[in-house]
Amino acid sequence: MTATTESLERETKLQGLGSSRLRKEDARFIRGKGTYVDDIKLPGMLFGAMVRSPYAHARIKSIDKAKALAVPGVVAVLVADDLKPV
Amino acid sequence: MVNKQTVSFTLNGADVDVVVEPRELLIHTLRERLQHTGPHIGCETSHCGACTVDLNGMSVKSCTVLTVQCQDAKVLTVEGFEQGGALHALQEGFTQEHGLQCGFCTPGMITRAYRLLQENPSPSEEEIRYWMAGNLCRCTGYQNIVKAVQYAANKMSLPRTGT
Repeated sequence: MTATTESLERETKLQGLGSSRLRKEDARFIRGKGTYVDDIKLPGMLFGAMVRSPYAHARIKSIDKAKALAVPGVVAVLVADDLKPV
Repeated sequence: MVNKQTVSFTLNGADVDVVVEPRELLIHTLRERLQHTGPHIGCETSHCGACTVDLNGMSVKSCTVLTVQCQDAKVLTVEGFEQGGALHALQEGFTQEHGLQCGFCTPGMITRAYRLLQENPSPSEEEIRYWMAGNLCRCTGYQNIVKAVQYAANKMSLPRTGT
């Protein structure tokens, strides 16, 4: 916001009422230092991929993980049952 | 892994060498290998422009550029705009004119607007909107982004004072 007579008046007489305030978080965003979730790196991080059902309306009878687990580099295949303890 | 290649280019003025597979995308090299997480991955399909960088004087969406295409190239990312602690006019414009909220699109916006102002130092509002059409923002509604670019255009057109 450039300082106009009007904005100066707001700053002084109205003690800032009605004037735009600069945001303190902008400093990092305009420098590319935002630290969004995808920017975070921690030791041992893995890539994850979702597998969705190809059927719009169906009942899951079973899920066979064997083939997926056999792919080199695959660390885990998680299905609903694996998340039950959580 | 197979067939890795060494690629050398300058990143924001500094020489860098990376060893990559031919399939690796520039955005991944920048973010994963060179710790430049300013350019973001918004869509990975060249729609959103969050990964925009300047490559040899052209705006490119770095999710559609292979790193091996960058041999001897000059790459500029948002991290290269601040010079000696002084913000670039565009960085100043975006904060002064409230051209960002969540900030995810901002690195691409700034890099794209930089290319615009290099080619056309005093663009009209229509020209700004046309040039920025490849960069999506889901927060601001674009009005203040246009103002931010205008702010920078005005500031850059003024004669430099002794800084």
